[in-house]
Amino acid sequence: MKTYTSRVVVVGTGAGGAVAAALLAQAGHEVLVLEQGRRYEPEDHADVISSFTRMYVNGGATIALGNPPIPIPLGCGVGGSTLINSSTCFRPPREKVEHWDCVDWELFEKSLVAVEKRIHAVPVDESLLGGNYTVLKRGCDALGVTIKPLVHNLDGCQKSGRCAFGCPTGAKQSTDRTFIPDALAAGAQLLTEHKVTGVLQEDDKIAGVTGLCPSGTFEARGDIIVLAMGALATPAFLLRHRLANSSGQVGRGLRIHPASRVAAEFDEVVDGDRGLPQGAYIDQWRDRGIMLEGISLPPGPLLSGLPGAGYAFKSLAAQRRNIATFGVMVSDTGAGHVRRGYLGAPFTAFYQLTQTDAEALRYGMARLGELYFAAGAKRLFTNVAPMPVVQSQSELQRFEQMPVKPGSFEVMAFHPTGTCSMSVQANKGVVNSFLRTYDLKNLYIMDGSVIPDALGVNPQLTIMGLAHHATTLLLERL
Amino acid sequence: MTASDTRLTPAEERFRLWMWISVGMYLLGLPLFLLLGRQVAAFLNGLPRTLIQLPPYPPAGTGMEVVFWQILGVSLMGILGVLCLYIALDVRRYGPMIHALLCAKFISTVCYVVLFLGSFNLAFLVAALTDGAILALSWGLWFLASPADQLLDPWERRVLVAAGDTLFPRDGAFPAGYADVEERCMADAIRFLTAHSPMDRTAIRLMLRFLDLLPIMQFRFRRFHTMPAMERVAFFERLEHSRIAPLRLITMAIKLYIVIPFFNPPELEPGITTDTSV
Ligand SMILES: Cc1cc2nc3c(=O)[nH]c(=O)nc-3n(C[C@H](O)[C@H](O)[C@H](O)COP(=O)(O)OP(=O)(O)OC[C@H]3O[C@@H](n4cnc5c(N)ncnc54)[C@H](O)[C@@H]3O)c2cc1C
Repeated sequence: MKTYTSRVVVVGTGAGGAVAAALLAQAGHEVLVLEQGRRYEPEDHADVISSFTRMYVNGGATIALGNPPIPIPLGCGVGGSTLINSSTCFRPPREKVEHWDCVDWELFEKSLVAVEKRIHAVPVDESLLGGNYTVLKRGCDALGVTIKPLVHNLDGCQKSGRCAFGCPTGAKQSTDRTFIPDALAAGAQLLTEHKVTGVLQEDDKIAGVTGLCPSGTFEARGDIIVLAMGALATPAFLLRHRLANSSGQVGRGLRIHPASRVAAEFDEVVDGDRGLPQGAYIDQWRDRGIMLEGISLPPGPLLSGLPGAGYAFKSLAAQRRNIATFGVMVSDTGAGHVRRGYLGAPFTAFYQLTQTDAEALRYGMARLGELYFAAGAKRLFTNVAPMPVVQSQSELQRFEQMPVKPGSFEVMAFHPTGTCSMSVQANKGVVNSFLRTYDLKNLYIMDGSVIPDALGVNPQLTIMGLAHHATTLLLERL
Repeated sequence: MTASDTRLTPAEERFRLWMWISVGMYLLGLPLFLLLGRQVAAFLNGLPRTLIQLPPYPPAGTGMEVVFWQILGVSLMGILGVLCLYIALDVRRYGPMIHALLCAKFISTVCYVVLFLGSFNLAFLVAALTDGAILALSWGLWFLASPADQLLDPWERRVLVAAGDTLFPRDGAFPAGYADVEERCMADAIRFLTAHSPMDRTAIRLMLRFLDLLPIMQFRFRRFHTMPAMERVAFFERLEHSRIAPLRLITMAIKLYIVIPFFNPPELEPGITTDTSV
C-alpha cells in the first residue's frame, strides 16, 4: 500500500476540485489532488468511441433510472466533466443565489469574475458559430426572436466542433488547462488513476481517504479533505461510508436540468458540426424555465438519435450535413435522488421527469420547431412518441396539443447538481456556506452537489465560483 | 487443466465451478437413485416428521413399470453428468452443450409446474423449485460466461449484424452497407462496450437477445436475424415508433452500437458518405 500525507487532500479535478486545489496551493499549502481518470493532451482526443471509452465515466452509459431513463454523461479524467463539456459559461441568476441565503452576492461575484478571467470566459465571436446558428438565426429574424452568442471559456477555438469529445486543439480552457496547471505550478501533487473508495475516519473528522491505484492500493492522509467527485459520485460515497448525513439530506434533491433536442432537415447544407457546438442561445421563454441552447454532434451520435431504418435511414444519413440541431433545457420542478451505488456501480441515481417539465420541454421544442419552419426546414425530428417526425406547421400544432407523458420523451441531462445541498440550517443541508460539512469539521464538499436549487442555467461557472468563494473563506481561517 | 482455455474469464471460472458441482451431484445421485431409489424416497418422505412439515414425495409404485422409468431417469442423469464433465474440462469448447441440460431442466420444470397446478401436491412444487433453480442458475452462469473474452456471444453478434444490415443495407444513398464494414464496426462496438460496467453490458446483451426473440413472441415464427431484409426494416421501424417505451428504448440503445461505430473513423471508408453531393 502506498501512503501519502498532505495538508489538504482534494478528490476530483473537475469544475469544483480544480479551483479549490489551485487556490490552496497558490496560498502555499501542501495539496495532494487525487483523480480517478487519466490526464489527456489535445492530441489524445481522437475518434468518438475513444472519447467515450476513455473520457466518460462508464463509457458514457451513466443513467438516472425513471420513466424515461435519463442518460447523464460525466467526464472522467483530469478536468472532470469540463474535459468533455461544451464550454458554455453562464453566471448563476443573482436572484437565485440570493434566494439560497448562503453566500453574499458581492463576495461571490468577485469569485465569479476571478474564475471568468482565469478560464477566459468571453462571449464568442459570431464567426465561430456554425451553420446551426445561421439557419436558426434566419428563423429568429423572421419571427422576431432574439438569438444571442453564448459566453465560452475558449482561447483560439478552431471550430473543430468536438467540445463534447475533448477539444482536439486545446482551445477549451477546461480545468485541466487552467486551474490544474496552476495548482501544479504552485507545488500541488496530482495523482491520476487514483480512485478513492474508502475513508479513514477518526471521531468527528476524516483522517484521510483510501483507494485503488495502478500499483494496488493507497492511503492519503490530510488535515483537510475536499470531496469534489461530482453531484452523483460524492453523495454516493458519503452514503456508502455513512458520512455527513445527520440531516438525512445526502443524495436528495438531485436536479439535472433535463434536456431534449429538435433536429431539422433543410434543403441546404447546414454543417452544424463545423463550428462551436453550443454557440448560441435563446432565453425568450426563461420565465417558463426554458432555455434553448445550441448543440451539434458528429455524424455517429447525431444519426443514432434519428428515427428510421433501411434505405430511408441511409438517405437521411447521406443528408446529414443538411441537418440542424438545437437543444431545449428546462429548469427542474421536481427532484431525484442518488443512492450509494448497487451491483458495483459508483452510484445509482433515480430521477422521474415531472409532467410539468415534460410539457415545458414540449413547449420549447414547439417553439424551436416554429423557428426552424420559419427558416425553411423540410421536417423536424422530435423523438417524442407518438410524433417523432413533424412535417409541417399544422403537424406542429398537433404536436403541441397531443397528450404527452414524461415517458414519451427522449431526455438527456448534463448538469447534475443539488445532492449535498448547501444550507444555513444544519437540518436542511449537508454543508454550510463555507461548503464544510455540518457533521465532520475537516470535510469539505466543493462540486456541483452543493448547489441547493435548480439553477436553470449551465452550472460550471457557478460550481467554480462556489469553490473559489468557499476556498477563499477557508484560506482566511487556515 | 482444460484444453483450450488457458485464460478463462471470471465468469467462465464461475460457470466451470458450477459444472464441477453438477458433476458431483449427478455422480452422487446416479447410484443413489439407481440402487436405493425407494429408500431415498422413503427417507425424504420421513423427513417431514423430523423437520418442519415438508411435503412428501409422491409415493413410489412397484413393479417393472417403476424400474423402467427409474432406469430411464437415471440414464438421463448419467447423460447430464457426462455433459457437465465435458464442459467442466473445457468450457470454451463444450460450453454450448449446456443447452441440452437447459432443455432437460426446462421441460422438467414446466411439467412439474403443470402437475402442481393440476394436483396441488406440494411435492411437485418442490420439484419445480429445485429444477427451476438449477435451470436459472445454469442459464445465468452460462449467459455470463458465453461471450468468453469477446463481450458478445455469437448469437448476439448475429443479431447486431442483422440490426446493422437493417439500418445500413448495401446501396441506396451510398454504396457501402454495414456488411462491408462489419468487422471494423463490430470491433468498435466491442471497444465501446468494454468501457461499460458488466451490468450495462449485460443489459445490452439481453436487449439484443430480446430483439431477436421478439418476432417469435409476436407469433411471426421467425427470429429477427432470420427475417427477410424488408420485413426486418419494417419491424425495426415499428418498434422504434412503438407506444411501449421499453421497446423504443431497446431500438434506441441498439442503434447506438451500430450507428456510432459505423461513422466512427474520422476518415470514413470510401463507400460511406454523408456528403449531399453524392
Ligand atoms: C457533455 C457535457 C457537456 C456539458 N456542457 C456544459 C457547458 O457547456 N457549460 C456548463 O456550465 N456545464 C456543462 N456541463 C456540466 C459541467 O461540466 C459540470 O456541471 C461540472 O463540470 C461539474 O463539476 P463537478 O466538480 O461537480 O464534477 P466533475 O467536473 O464531473 O468532476 C468530478 C471529478 O471527480 C473525479 N472522481 C469521481 N469519483 C472519483 C473517485 N472515486 N476517486 C477519484 N476521483 C473521482 C471524476 O473523474 C472527475 O474528474 C456539461 C457536462 C457534460 C457531461
